[in-house]
Amino acid sequence: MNGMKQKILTAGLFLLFFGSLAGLALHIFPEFQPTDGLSASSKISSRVGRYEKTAEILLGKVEIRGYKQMGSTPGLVRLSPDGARIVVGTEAGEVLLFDLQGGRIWSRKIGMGKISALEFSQDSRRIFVGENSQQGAVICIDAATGSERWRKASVDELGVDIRQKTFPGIMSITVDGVGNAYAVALRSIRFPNGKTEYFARIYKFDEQGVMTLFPRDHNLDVWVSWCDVDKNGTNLVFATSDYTPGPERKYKDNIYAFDAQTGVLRWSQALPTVAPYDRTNMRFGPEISEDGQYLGGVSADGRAFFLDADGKLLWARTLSAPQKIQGIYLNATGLHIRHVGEYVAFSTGNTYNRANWQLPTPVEHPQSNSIFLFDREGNLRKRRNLGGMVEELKVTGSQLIVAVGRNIRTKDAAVHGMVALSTPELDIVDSMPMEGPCVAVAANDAYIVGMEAPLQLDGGEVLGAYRIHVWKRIGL
Amino acid sequence: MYNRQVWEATPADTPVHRLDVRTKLALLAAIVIFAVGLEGPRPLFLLFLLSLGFHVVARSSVERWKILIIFLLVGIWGAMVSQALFYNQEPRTMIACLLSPTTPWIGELTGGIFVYREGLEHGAVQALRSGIMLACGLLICWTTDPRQLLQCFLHWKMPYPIAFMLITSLRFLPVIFEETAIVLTAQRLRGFEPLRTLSPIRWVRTAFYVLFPILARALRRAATLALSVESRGFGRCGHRAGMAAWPVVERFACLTVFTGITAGAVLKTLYSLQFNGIIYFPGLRGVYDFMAVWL
Repeated sequence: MNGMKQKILTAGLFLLFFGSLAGLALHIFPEFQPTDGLSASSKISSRVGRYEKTAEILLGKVEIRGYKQMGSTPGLVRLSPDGARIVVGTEAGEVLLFDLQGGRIWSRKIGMGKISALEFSQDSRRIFVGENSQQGAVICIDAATGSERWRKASVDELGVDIRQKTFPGIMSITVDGVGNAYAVALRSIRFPNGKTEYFARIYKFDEQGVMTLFPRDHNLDVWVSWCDVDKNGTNLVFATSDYTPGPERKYKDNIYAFDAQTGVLRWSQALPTVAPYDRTNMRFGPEISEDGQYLGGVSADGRAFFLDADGKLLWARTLSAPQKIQGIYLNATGLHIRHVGEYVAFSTGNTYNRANWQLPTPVEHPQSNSIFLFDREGNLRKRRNLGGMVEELKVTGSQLIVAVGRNIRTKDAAVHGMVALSTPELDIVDSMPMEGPCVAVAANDAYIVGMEAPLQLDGGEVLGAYRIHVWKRIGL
Repeated sequence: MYNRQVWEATPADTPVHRLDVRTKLALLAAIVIFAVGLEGPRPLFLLFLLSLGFHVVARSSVERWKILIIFLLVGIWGAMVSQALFYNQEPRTMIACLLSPTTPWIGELTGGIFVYREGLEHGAVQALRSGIMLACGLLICWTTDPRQLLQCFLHWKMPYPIAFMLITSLRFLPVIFEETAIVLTAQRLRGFEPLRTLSPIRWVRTAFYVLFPILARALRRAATLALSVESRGFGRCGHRAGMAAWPVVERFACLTVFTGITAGAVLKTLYSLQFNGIIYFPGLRGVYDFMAVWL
């Protein structure tokens, strides 16, 4: 009897030890955690039932943010143009490739850099990763194997200051329809006197990784974080920002267009300013329409612009006018632009305090967290408030797919998730709720993939997790 | 029944037992340096598994595994729980609230008691470090005759009194545990159940009841030992037995490991220099990436 008791105690001890070891191993090596798609019995439907969740994949650890911190949890998700693969770039610097059932195909860490841009090539065979580090490199990865094909560091053009930690970074990557990829690299230095110096450059890579620079022989002296190119790879456009403008700047205009093949500057456009701002800053956009005939742009002061391909301003509209509350200007920043058939959609984000954008505002701007749909003549067709930050906006067919994140003012967690909107009505076609805020989305005609981030409530409770949700379209 | 042999080195024919004592000590030193120098949980966990693997190779008995597991479990959970509760670095994420800040008096006094995720992780890393050292240390104790250890220390020019004290303390460990068992048995025979209680006051009382007799017996034994070694001429220079030649293969293995440690130290220094913005070599980007991901 005593011997049996001893044996049971020994077995319990061993079980406890190996259980603890297994738990530790799973935590330390999250790649061994079961991440595959949902079982057939646990399929979840969207609110309206037009989509069905096929996979839910945990992405490992991430710093959990609360309502007191501005800025979203970093993370990028893209669907391959052939619709068969999902690539994810995590805050921990990991690139992961999944199939649509949630099965992991490969993963690789990019090293000490932070992933800042991610895009598939048009043929789905390469993945371009942009990183922010001492070298600010674009890394081309073979989508089939996960191996690195080539990498190009922007430090050669933009420089680096190791002591001050002013590193170059790839801000965005886009591709055209003829096999080229375009990356925007930026480095900025803020001096003690308040002045800021910018170094920006746009890189074009052909299928073999051969590089061309825009402009050819010098850096841009303004903030550039976005560019777009038409399908034929002929017209390259980008917008600029400058938070400490001065007469010494060479690139004073707001939108520039280059010939993407010859590198010649085709045109530039200076847009009017609006009080209380002394410059029109455009951090996102411009976005070229599918037919290459129109450009949409949005400014940080909350205005939308529509231009033709030759740079002629067709119209400008105010999305959210800056409002002076108790002596401080508040406004909802213009964020995204998407062309949907004959319409163009613009979005605004959370309300920001002009004096210190990192401080939450006492009130919400009435036009914040909204989608605005205009026709090409500049008529507002519809506006819809999403209730939370519009983190990303994608187009599939005639629908807009919106990633809805947190609202630091209302703190309403019920708005988190993805929403499919019809055009031009902006009616909710379906919504796919999440516990935590949705920080990124990718979509095609058959699938919607959203990235969820964990959110810490003021009481300490944590909502959601760092994971992606894959939804398959099952209805019209 | 208490088994004193569990604590003492026993001869066996395994690769670990066959290793030269100098090789064992050199590898122990290397593992300790690795455990202290490595920061990432991944390599630490792998090193921890390796140290457990050595026990498998040495065919440690179930009794010895039980002892090892008890020590490791206490270390792992103790470090994780304490760090989870008292972690004070940023960022830190609450994953559970044990005591709300709104609880009258004690909640206001403490500001609430929370379990922090980063604290759990930090505790796990610390526990892995101590676990690696414990597992390797016990492995040497269980597979190496203390006389060989003494010979090795003297061969490496360690002062005789220090080497003697070190080995004596090692040999006294099983004696201390045996005496603890004797004291507990004696108290149990007198009707005292020292371990069957959940009362903290009773635990403290038990500790005093057990510790004083052990201390008294240890002092008595130390005095006897001192007299014994003095009568044998302790500290006088005499003829010392030399050691057999260190096998070349084992010496080469140790040299390789220490070369690896030196290389690791150089890489870590390089990484720290770039991390602190002092110097960065673009050509070593691959090395920096490897350090960031794995080490």
